[in-house]
Amino acid sequence: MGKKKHPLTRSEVERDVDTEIEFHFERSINELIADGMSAADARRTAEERFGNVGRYSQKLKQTADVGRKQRAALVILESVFTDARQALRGLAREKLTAVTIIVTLALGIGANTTMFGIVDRLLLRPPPGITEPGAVKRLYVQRAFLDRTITSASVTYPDLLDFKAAGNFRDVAGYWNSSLPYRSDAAPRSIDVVAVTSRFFAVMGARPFIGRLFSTEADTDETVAVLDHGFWEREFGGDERVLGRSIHLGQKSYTIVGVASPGFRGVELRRTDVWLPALPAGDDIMNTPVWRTSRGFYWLRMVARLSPGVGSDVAAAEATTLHRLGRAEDTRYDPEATILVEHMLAARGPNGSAVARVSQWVLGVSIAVLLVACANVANLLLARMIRRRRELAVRLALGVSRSRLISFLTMESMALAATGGLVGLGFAFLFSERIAQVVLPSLVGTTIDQRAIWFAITVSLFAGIFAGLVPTIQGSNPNLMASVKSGTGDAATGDSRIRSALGVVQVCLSVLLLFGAGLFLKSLNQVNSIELGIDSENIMVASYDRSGFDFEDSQWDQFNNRAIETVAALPSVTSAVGVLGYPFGPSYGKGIEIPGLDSIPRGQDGGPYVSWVGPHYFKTVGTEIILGRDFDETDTAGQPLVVVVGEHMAQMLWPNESALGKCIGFSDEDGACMQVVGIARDTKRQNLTQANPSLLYYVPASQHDDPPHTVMARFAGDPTAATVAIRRAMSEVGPNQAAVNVRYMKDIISPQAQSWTLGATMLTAYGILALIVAAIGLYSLIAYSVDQRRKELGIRTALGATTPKLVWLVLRESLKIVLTGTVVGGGIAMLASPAMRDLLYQVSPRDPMVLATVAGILLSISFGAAVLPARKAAGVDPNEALRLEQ
Amino acid sequence: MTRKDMDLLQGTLDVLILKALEVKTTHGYGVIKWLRDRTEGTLEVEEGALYTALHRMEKKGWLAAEWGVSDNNRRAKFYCLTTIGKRQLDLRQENWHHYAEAVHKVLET
Repeated sequence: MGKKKHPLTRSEVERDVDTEIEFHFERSINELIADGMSAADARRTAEERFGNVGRYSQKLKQTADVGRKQRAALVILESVFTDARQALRGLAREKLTAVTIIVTLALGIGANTTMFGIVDRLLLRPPPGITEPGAVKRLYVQRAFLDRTITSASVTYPDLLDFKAAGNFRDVAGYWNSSLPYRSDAAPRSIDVVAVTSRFFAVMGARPFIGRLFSTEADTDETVAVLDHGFWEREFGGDERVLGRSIHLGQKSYTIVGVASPGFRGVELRRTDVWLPALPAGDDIMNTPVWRTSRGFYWLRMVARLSPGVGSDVAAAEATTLHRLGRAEDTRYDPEATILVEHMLAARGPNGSAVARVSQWVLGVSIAVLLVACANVANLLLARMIRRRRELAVRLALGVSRSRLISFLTMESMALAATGGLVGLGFAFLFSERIAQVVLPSLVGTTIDQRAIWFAITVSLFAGIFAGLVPTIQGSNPNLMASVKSGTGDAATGDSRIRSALGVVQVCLSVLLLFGAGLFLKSLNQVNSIELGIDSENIMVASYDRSGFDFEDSQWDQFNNRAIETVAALPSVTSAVGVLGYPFGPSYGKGIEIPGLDSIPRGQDGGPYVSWVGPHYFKTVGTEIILGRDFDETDTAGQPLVVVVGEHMAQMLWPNESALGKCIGFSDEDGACMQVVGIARDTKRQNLTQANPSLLYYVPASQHDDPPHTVMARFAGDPTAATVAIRRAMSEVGPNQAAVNVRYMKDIISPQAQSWTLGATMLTAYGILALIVAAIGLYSLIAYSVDQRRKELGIRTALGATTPKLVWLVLRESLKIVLTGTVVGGGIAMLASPAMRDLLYQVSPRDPMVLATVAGILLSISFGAAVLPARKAAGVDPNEALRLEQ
Repeated sequence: MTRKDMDLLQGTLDVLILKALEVKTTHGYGVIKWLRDRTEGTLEVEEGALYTALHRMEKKGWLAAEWGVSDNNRRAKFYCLTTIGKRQLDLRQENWHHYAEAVHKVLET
C-alpha cells in the first residue's frame, strides 16, 4: 500500500473527495451490473443508495478542508518547535560562542533598557495622575534682568491672579515645592510639601484616592491638607480614618481632607509628602504674608490647562497682555515681560536641563553599543555558519526548502536574542536604580516598568532579526552547493568581505563612543579643576529650619551663637563660624559708597555682594588671604569697622593702587568708613562655571545688625559622621523640635557638575563596553581567518616564509580593519561632535588630543586582538596544513 | 424520525463502521459491502452518510486514512482503526451489549 502525504491545498482536498466518491460509484455500479442489472439501472440504484451526491460531496469537502487547515497549522507549529529545539541543541554544542553572543546582546539590550527607562521618565511620559496631559502647560516669564534676558519659571502671587482672567486658560494655578518641619510622635523632621493655589488639582484633572482635593474657586485660608498616597501608607498605614484628623506642619495644624491618587506628583518629578493650600502654607514657607500682595516675591511656579481647541501661542499672547496690564503700575521689574506657554515637563521646557539632554545623548550612545553588539553577533553567527557550511549544504541538497532553512537560522538568532534580552533586562534591573539616582536624584521608584520591559522585548526582537540577517542570507544561499564541491574556496572570500565590513562598523562605532566619552571626561576634568576659592572637601553648612517658629530675631541669634560654640567644640570639627551669605548659598547685594568714586561698578552677575561673617572665616572655609589679614576676635562692635574685599573687587575699585587701608561704606549706615584690612582670593558665587569673577566683600557680623543665619564648620574625617554629630549638637542647643539642615559643601556643589559626571560616566562605561565587544569581534574575526588560511600559511611556511613575515600577514589584516574603522569613525566624529558643543566645558568638540588617544587605544586593541592568532599562524605545521582538505 | 432516534442511529452507525474496520482495513465501499453482507440488507442507511461518518471519525483520530491501490488496481482511500478508535469501539460495544441485554430482559417478561 503506497503512502500519500496529507493534502496541502484546498483543491487537493476536493480532488481527494471526488476520487473517493468516484471510486465508490465505480465499485457499486460494477457490482450491481455483475448481479445482472443493466448499466442504467445499476447507476440509478447506486445513486439512490448513496443519497444526494452533490450535498454529501460538498459536506465532505468542507469537513476535510477544516481538517487540512488544522493539520497545516500543526505542521508549522511543529516545525517551529523542531527548529527551536535544533537551534538550542546546536547552540548548546558551541557553548563558548553562544555565551559570548548572549552576553554581548545582554550588555547592549541592558544598556538600552536602562537609558530608555530614564529618558522615558524625564522626557517622554506625562507624570501619572494627570488627565488629558496634552492640554496641561507650564508657564514661563521671559524678562530683562540686568543686561540679560532670563526665562524664569517663577511669578509672584498677584501675577498669578492676573492670569485667572485669561479666557484661553480653562484653569491656571501656582505651586511651590518646599519643606516644612513635621511634628509627629517620632523625632521632628523636614518633609516635602507642595503649596498649591486652589485650582491646582483642577488644572491637573487629578482625582483623589480617598476624600477630596482642594477645588475652591478662589484661594482661602482654610488649613486643610491632602496627603501623598505613599506618605499616607508610610505614616498612617493606609488607614482611611485619617480623614478629618490633623497634621502639624510648621506653625500650623492642617485637617486632612483627602489622599491623592498613587504616584501623583503634579508636573514635577520630585518626591512629595503633603499638598497644602498656598495661602496658609505660603506664610510659613515665606516667613511673611507680604508675598500675598507684593509683586517682588517671585516664587510660584505656574501651570495652566488650555481651553479646548486653544493653541499655546494664542494662550501665550493673551497671558502676556494680562501680565503687562497687571504690572502697568509697578515698573520696578521688566514691564515688557513675555509669557511663554510650554511643555509641562521641565526637561522639555526652555530651561531644559543639561542632564536631560545628556541623557538623550547617552540613549543614542546605548543604541550605538547595541549596534556594535549586533554587528559582533552577526559576525560570530557568520563564522559559525561557515563552519557549518557542509551541514547546511547537505540540508539544501536533501531538498530542505530555502524558506525552511531561513526559518531555522532565524530561529537560532531569535533564541539568542531572547536569551540576551532576558539577561539584559536583569542587568537593567540591577543597575537602573543606581544610574537613575545620578540623573534624577529626586525620582521615586524604579524606572524599569512595563513600558521599559516592552521596550526591551522590542529591542531584543530587532536585535535578533538584525544580527541574524546577514548570516541567514549567506547560510541559505543556494550557491552553497558550489562552495562545498570546490572545497572551502570561493564563497569564503565573499563572506570574509562581509565579516571585515562588520568589523569596520564595530571599530567605527567604538571610535565614536570613545571620542564622546573622551570629550566628557576632559570636560569633567576641567570642571573638577575649577578653582572654587573655598575648600569644599572639608566644609559643612548647617542651619535651623526657621519656618513655622515664632521666635524673635534676637532669640534666633542666641540659638545660633550657642550652635556655633557647640559645633566648634565637637572633636571632629576644627573650627566653626557664623555667616550670612556664603558661596553656593544665598548672596546679598547691598548699596555701598566709596569716597572719591561717583559710581560703584557692577560685576557681570550684579553685586557687589556682601557676606557677614564671624572671626577666622577665611581660615575656616579655606579662602586664601592674599594681602592683609583675616577677621579675628578683636573685630567687635566697639572697634574700628573693617572689611575684606575679593581680589577682583579690589582690582575694579582701586585699579592702580593697593586696596589695603581704603574705605567702603554702607549707604544705609551713613557711609561710615569700613577700612579694608585684607584682600581675599575670589570665590565662585553661585555658579560653578561662572565665567567672570563676582565682586565680593566681607564684613564682621559682630560690627553690624545682620546676624548670621548659617554655621559653616571645617571638619576632619568622615563627612557622614560629621553631619550626624553637627545635627545632634545643634538640635540640643536649638529650639525644641526644630529641624536642623546639615549639608556637605561638596554635595551642594556637585549637582552643578551632574551633566558632565553623567556624560563622562555613562559614555565611558558604554564606550568601554563597545570596545570590549569590538575587541572580541575583531579577535574572532582574525582567529577565524587564520584558521581558514591554514593551508595557504602552510604553503608559505613550506616555501620559506619567516615567522615575522607570517605574523605581519595576520597583523596586517587586523590593522586594515581597525585603521579603516578609525578613519571613518574619526571622520564622522569630527562632523558630528560640534552638535554637543554646549554640553562640554572648555573642551573643543574636535579636541585632537582626545581623538589621538582614541586612535591609540584602538590601534593597541588591533594588536591585542591579533597576537594570539598571529602566534598560531606562525606555528602552523606545513605538513599537517597541507594534508587538510585534500 | 425524532432527534433522539437520529442520535441513536449515528452512534449505531459509528459502532458498525468501527467494527467493520476492526475486522479489516478497507475503503469506504468495502465497509458498506461488509455491513450489507452481515446484516443481509436489513440496515438501510444512505451511503453518503456513511462517508460523512468515516471523515468525521478520521478527523477525530479514531480512524487513520491512507491512499492506496485497490484489488482492481484503482486509487482508493483506505481506512484503518487507530488505538483511540479501537478503544472507542470496545467502549461502545460494551454499552450496546448492556443496552441490548436490558431491553431484551424487559421484552422477555
